[in-house]
Amino acid sequence: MTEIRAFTDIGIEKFRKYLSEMKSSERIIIDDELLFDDNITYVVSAEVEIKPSMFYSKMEAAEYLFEIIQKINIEEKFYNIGLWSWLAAYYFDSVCPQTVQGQRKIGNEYRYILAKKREYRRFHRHLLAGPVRIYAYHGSNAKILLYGPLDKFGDFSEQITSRPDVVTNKGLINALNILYWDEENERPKRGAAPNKKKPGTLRRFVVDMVGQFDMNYDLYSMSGKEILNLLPSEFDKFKFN
Amino acid sequence: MIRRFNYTGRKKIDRDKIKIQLNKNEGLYTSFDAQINLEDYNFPGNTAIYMEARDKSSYMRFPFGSISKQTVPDNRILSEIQSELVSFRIKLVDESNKHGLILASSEISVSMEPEPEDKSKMFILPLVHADLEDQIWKIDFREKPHLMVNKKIDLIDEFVDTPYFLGLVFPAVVRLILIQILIVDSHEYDESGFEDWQDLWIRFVNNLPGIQNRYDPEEFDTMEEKIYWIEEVVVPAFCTAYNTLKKVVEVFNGDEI
Repeated sequence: MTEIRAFTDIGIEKFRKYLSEMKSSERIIIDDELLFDDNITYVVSAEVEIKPSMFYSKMEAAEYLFEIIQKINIEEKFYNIGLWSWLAAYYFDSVCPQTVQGQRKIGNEYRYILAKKREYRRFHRHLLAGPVRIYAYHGSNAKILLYGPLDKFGDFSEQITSRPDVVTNKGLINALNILYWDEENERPKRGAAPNKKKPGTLRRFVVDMVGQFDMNYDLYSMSGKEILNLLPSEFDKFKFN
Repeated sequence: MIRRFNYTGRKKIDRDKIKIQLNKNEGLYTSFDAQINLEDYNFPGNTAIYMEARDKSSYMRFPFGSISKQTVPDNRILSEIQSELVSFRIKLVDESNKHGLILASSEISVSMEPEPEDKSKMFILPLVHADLEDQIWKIDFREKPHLMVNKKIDLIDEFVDTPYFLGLVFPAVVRLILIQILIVDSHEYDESGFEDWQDLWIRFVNNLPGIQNRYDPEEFDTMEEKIYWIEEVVVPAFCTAYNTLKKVVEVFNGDEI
């Protein structure tokens, strides 16, 4: 267990340099010097400790970190760049696991260093802050959005999280769960989110149906079941399977 | 059932019935005040009123009671709103119906930017995300021109920032707006005016670098002369000022010209 920390501005720059070195394979691991040096990090809360873990899914990470974040008192906790960037560095093996060859595939910087609040397209793509924010909205109902490993964004996250009126709507997320979540196998139903916009699938639901319903129905005041009742028959294959 | 966008007979609320004011406090989140006047409408008293605020990445919702008993929520802080242009949507909702039918709605965009002391530097073309069916963009001339872009397109804001959009769309936008001002509205240009959006637009194009002939109502009097000024003076000057050709060619094939 260790005290939860945040990077200072200099710490963020140093983490950025680490990422660059990892991208060019000059470096493989995150040193303790980056994580615990008092010159570039600070303790956010002496009472709140976190444990080193390997998170195998976004949901697992979100559940754990949401609990932790609730306990700390820090300004704009969901938007704090130093905090979330430090957490990404601390849980780097989860957000950027090594391949069997021992290498890491470093993605875009904003996946690890939280983008500024105004950089809206990048902001929600942070690999830890994004899932925790979704979990904060929806709790266990977020399972369909938080399915899969942390380092893969996933079809459902991709389609939903960039749409603020959808991702914050509890009825809609509930409808998605009813429609596309396979309870038995604890994963999205097969064929629910293909690349193409096929009848009854996620893209058809989110892009076409929600856009249309939103003009005429107050989706925010509707339950998941009520929203499902508006859907045309092309969705029946997911509704009843 | 054939599904059309307004297949439920949703009414439109006139924008002049809604007044929204943003209150920006240094170091704090912006809050808003709203005056909603629905006296001229005949909606049932139990119709619920909601005000929704959104920008490109955030959404917030505020209940304002009902038609018969309007209330004002204590918390009107736009803590989730991140960009400078906020879109407000007022919804009148029939909550006695199991599906929460929207009886009427209206959208209003408000800029969080403080009004500049030099009003000639006002933001003259706000971007608004809207459902445009199969259109990519359009200009909405209600109140003042807004560039509407299709919210169904992922990363539409990034697309708007590309040289393609700059080169292919913005010259057409300038053309459309000037046609509206000079030909449709036959607006009388007031060189010292700062109140009318039309005057701000004409001043904007008159100040484009390299403009050969500034707009002069005496000189460009007939429709033909106005069209000549738009097509042969302004649009080419706009394209030159913003390097549209060079930028498009560069991204299209990587060549310099």
